[in-house]
Order: sequence, then structure tokens, then C-alpha cells
Amino acid sequence: MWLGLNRHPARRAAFLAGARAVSPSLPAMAAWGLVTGVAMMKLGLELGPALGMIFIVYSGTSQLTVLPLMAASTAVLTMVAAATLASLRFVVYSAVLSRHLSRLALPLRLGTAFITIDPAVALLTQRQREGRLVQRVALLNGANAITAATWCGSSVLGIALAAVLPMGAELAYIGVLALFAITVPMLIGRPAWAAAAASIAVTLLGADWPHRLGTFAAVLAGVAAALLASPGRHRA
Amino acid sequence: MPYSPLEIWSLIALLAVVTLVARSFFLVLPRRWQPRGRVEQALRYAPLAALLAITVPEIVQQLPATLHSPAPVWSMATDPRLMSALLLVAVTRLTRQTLWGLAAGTAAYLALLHVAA
Repeated sequence: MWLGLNRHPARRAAFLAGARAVSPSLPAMAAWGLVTGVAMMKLGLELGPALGMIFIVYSGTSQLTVLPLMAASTAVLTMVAAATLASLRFVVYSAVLSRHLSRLALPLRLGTAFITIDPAVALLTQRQREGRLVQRVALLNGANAITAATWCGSSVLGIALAAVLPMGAELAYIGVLALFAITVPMLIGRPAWAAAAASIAVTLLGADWPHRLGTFAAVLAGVAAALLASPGRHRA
Repeated sequence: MPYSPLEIWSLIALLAVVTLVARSFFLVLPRRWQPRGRVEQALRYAPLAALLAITVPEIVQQLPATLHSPAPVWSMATDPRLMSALLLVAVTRLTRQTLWGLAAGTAAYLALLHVAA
């Protein structure tokens, strides 16, 4: 296997620890994937492209951004531009990953970055001082593997259930609630509360901005607020 | 849906490129452009900020209408989105289990939908 897990017990242990540590967020991923799978079928995508969206695009953000635009017959390049703007938070995440992944060989670096989404990034930020680099990469990919399996599995289930499940704002909101649930345990300490307050303020101010730019501005505001609220380097 | 198979699959390929470029952006930049020190420390709050930025507007979606209704307090107390989120926070904090919080929030949401209907 490409991580060499069998030859390295410590890496294997880190991989399993990553999968275990991220497990509290899996119900949220499952709910969000289910909602996305149902939404794709309800908006008229055929089976092949819907599976392509799940396994090739691998971004609920992009998928949910382009779905309403597809229903409105928007041009392909316009949809790609909208998905790019909606995906800007991942650019910030890539800055989080850079310390841990920048020494890896390019294919493994790009592969790991491609499958790393919110719960795994959150886990890595909590464990970023622990273990050696190879173990942190294994930890990250353990979290990635189980997150990807949950996300893809529940999306496929959503496709299968689309015909019988009612799809309205009701079901979609349970996906929102699930994502919100992931954030509650993260609210520990002054920088976290500062980041939360700034992010919420900016996202509400920017609610009407096009292409989810308000979301991106809120991420930047949250990080800036955490920076201001964090203790100096000597105490950090 | 008026797209040809070629257009659909081009869209899927281009969106995959968007995923890859966004998620590896800083990883392919020269190392001196990668954030270090206190900025890097503050970046650990990016997932929290992002998830709240996505979810909070959905949670408070009904609030403007609620405040302008004839009985704002009652409307707020039976607002399925707001109340289920608040209950989720309370139960998660009390039990220290995300899953119980999510279960309580979902149950409250579905129950309040029936009250509102």
C-alpha cells in the first residue's frame, strides 16, 4: 500500500488513530452526503454524472454550488467560476496543510490535499504538535479515508433513496444541523470564540454577496480575529 | 437539463481541477510563501470559521420574518431552525457527545416542524 502501513506499525497506529479521532464528525458527513446525493437526482442529473460528481469532483461545496445553476441552464465556465469562488476556504486549508505535507513527494502531496476536507483539517489542527511528521500524515490520511468512505457511501445512498425520500428544505436543513454540530466541540478558548464571533458577524453581513464570497470573507475574518486574540509567541 | 454529455463531463473534469487546485494551493507554492509563526497558529481556527460561516446563515434564516410577526417571542420559541440549533449546542455541551447533540437537535427540528405546520 502506498503509505507502507504494513511495514510501519507506528504509522499504522496513527492511521487508525486518525480514523477513530474523526469518527464523531461522521454522522454529519453522512447527513450532508445523503442530502447532496438526493439533491443531485432531484435536480435531474443522470446516474453516471451524479457518480462522477461524487467520486471525481469530491467536493460537496462545488456540487451544491453548481446544482441550482445547472437547473437554470448556466454556461459551463460560469459554473466553474462560481465553484472556484465557493471553494476558496480550501485555499486557506491548504495553508494549514503546508507545514505537514510540503516535504512529501508531489503525487502523495497532491493526492492527500485532494481528499482532505473539513473534519480532517480540524483534527490536524488539534494534533499538529504530536508525533513525527510521517505519523501526522498517516493520522491525516486515516481521517481522510474514513471521511471519504462515509461521504461517498452516503452520497450513493442518497442517489438510491432519491425516489422515495422527500426532498425539501426540511431534509437539507438536517445536513446543515449536522455540519453545525461539528463546530460545537471546537469552541474552546479565547481565540476560538473570537474566530467564531468574527466569522458569524461577517457571514451575516455578507449573506447577499454573490458566489459565497461572504463565506470566504468570514473565514479570513475568523482567522484574523483568532490571531488578534491569541497570546504572544512566548506563551503560545 | 439542456447539457450534452460532453458538456456534463467537461464540467465534472473542470470541477475536479478546481477541487485539486484549491486544496493544494499553498502546497505547490515555494516554501517561503507558506505561512509560519503566529499566522500559522491562527489558521487552526479556519475550519471553525468556515463551518460557522456556512451554517449560521441557514440557522437564522427565519429570524427576520420571526421578529416582524405579530407574536415575535412565540414565533422565536417555535422557530424549528433556531431552536433545534440552540438545543444541539446545549445537549452537546452537557453530554460532551456530538452525536447526542445532533440527535436532540434533529428530533427538536422535526417536532417543531409539526408544531408550525
